[in-house]
Amino acid sequence: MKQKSNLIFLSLFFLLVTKTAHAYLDPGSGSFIFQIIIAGLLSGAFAIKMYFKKIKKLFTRIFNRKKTDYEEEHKETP
Amino acid sequence: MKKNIKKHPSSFRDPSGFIFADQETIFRQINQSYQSDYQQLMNSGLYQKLVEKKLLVTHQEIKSTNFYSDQGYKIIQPQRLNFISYPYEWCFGQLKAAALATLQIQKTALNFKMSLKDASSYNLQFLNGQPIFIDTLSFEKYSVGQPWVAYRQFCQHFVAPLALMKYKDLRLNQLFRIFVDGVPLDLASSLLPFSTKFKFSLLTHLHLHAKSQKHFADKSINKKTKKMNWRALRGLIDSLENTINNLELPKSHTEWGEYYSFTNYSPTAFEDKKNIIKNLLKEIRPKTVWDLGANDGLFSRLASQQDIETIAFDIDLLAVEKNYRQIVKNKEKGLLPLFIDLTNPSPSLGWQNQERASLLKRGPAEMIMALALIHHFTISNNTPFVKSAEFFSQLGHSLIIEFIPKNDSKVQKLLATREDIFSDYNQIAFENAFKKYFLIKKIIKIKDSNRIIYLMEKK
Repeated sequence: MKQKSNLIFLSLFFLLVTKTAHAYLDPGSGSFIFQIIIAGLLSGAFAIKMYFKKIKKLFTRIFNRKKTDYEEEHKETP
Repeated sequence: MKKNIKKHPSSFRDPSGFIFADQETIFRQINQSYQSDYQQLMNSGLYQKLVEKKLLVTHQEIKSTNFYSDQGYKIIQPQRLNFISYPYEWCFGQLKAAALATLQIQKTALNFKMSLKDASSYNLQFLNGQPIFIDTLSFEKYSVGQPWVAYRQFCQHFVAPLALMKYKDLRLNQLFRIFVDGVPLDLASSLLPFSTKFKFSLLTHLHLHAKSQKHFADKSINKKTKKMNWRALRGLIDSLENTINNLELPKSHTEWGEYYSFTNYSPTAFEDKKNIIKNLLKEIRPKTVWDLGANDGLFSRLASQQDIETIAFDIDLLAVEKNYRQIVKNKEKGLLPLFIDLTNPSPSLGWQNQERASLLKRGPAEMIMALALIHHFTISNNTPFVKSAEFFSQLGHSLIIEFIPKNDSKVQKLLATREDIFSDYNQIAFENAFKKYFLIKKIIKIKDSNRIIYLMEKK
């Protein structure tokens, strides 16, 4: 009986606990740290680029052009 | 589970699922551990978006719960591709297109709160001249602050080999044959010219990146505490995109002039040769053609323009490049140009020598075309006719082959630098050797030329 209840508990446990995919690829410590540092520097350049993109978008709207895929890809928020 | 179901030998690294084949049909089992990521991919609109852009293969969900293993959540049937090619068979332009497609997919994924968890060049294939992503399980939920786990792999699979091909030698794409997970960055850094350290993109993504890998080689870090914001992540992807876009082949490589269209026979002979091939293809109607020694694909197009799935193999990476650019420019369908050295074709590689299939294992094609090729095998590689015949019979069911007599200037050119030890190089010896493996169906002399076209069928 005890065995049965243990089994039910374990089954419920595995059903209820959300399973998440684990990162299978080793990002490499050196690559991991390095990208954080370099991306920190690049984020400034990216922000400036986005600023100009916004101005361009404004002009695009003025001239009533259809929103392009390119602009959509460069959305600033995820 | 049925006995004839086989797990694909290359599909074992990612615990999210795997590919298996039930006879001729390919399926993918998605494991329970990937359930929530798969739902996000399908329900967020990301799958739809990527399929619309022709960046991801389509798939159908299969109702069966006859899972390969007990971790199964779902079975899907991906869109079928006729031929799987590998990055060591791609020209510069193909690898570059694959790199840009990977980044485009990553940018799109980020907009749907997902991210690529790997960036292997083997995740891409070519369909109608365009790179297409084939690994449906490569997407994971993106959580704010998470760096790109596949950054290292992207640099190894794309940035390093493209930089080496551009700044050192196109043939360095062959490093893919040795290194199963892309070119090690320390190797790329040491091989590249010193001047590349003055290019910000290569200085960062290759040289300094390699140094950082060396510095942290034996150190463990707590990855959970290391975060980067979304803008930094987008900045990184943007920078990688600029890096790849700036890697272009020098103009001296791409201004081909007449080199590839030069022939040593008359316009009449050329037209007649084209008509002969076209008519033979119409008569046989093969589903697949492998054109061996295809140069820039002029004769391959006689097949692909008849809606025959055609692969144009050549040993000259610039010829493959020219062919590929023409396909992209004219949006041609059904033609895949690939680099191959037929005297040493792609072997089986990777884990247990089974991850990447050899050329022979990816065949046979319904038809082989070998135009202006046999003299290269015989004279440049000392291959007896009978060995060439055996090889062709392993590659395809029927064969269109051109015999070039010894007095042809192309043969004489090959003999100019070596002793002529080929007393058996003649039409009779050629026919006798090929009769061991093939039935000769037709012999057609090209007008205004001494060259002869044969149609043969495997015995």
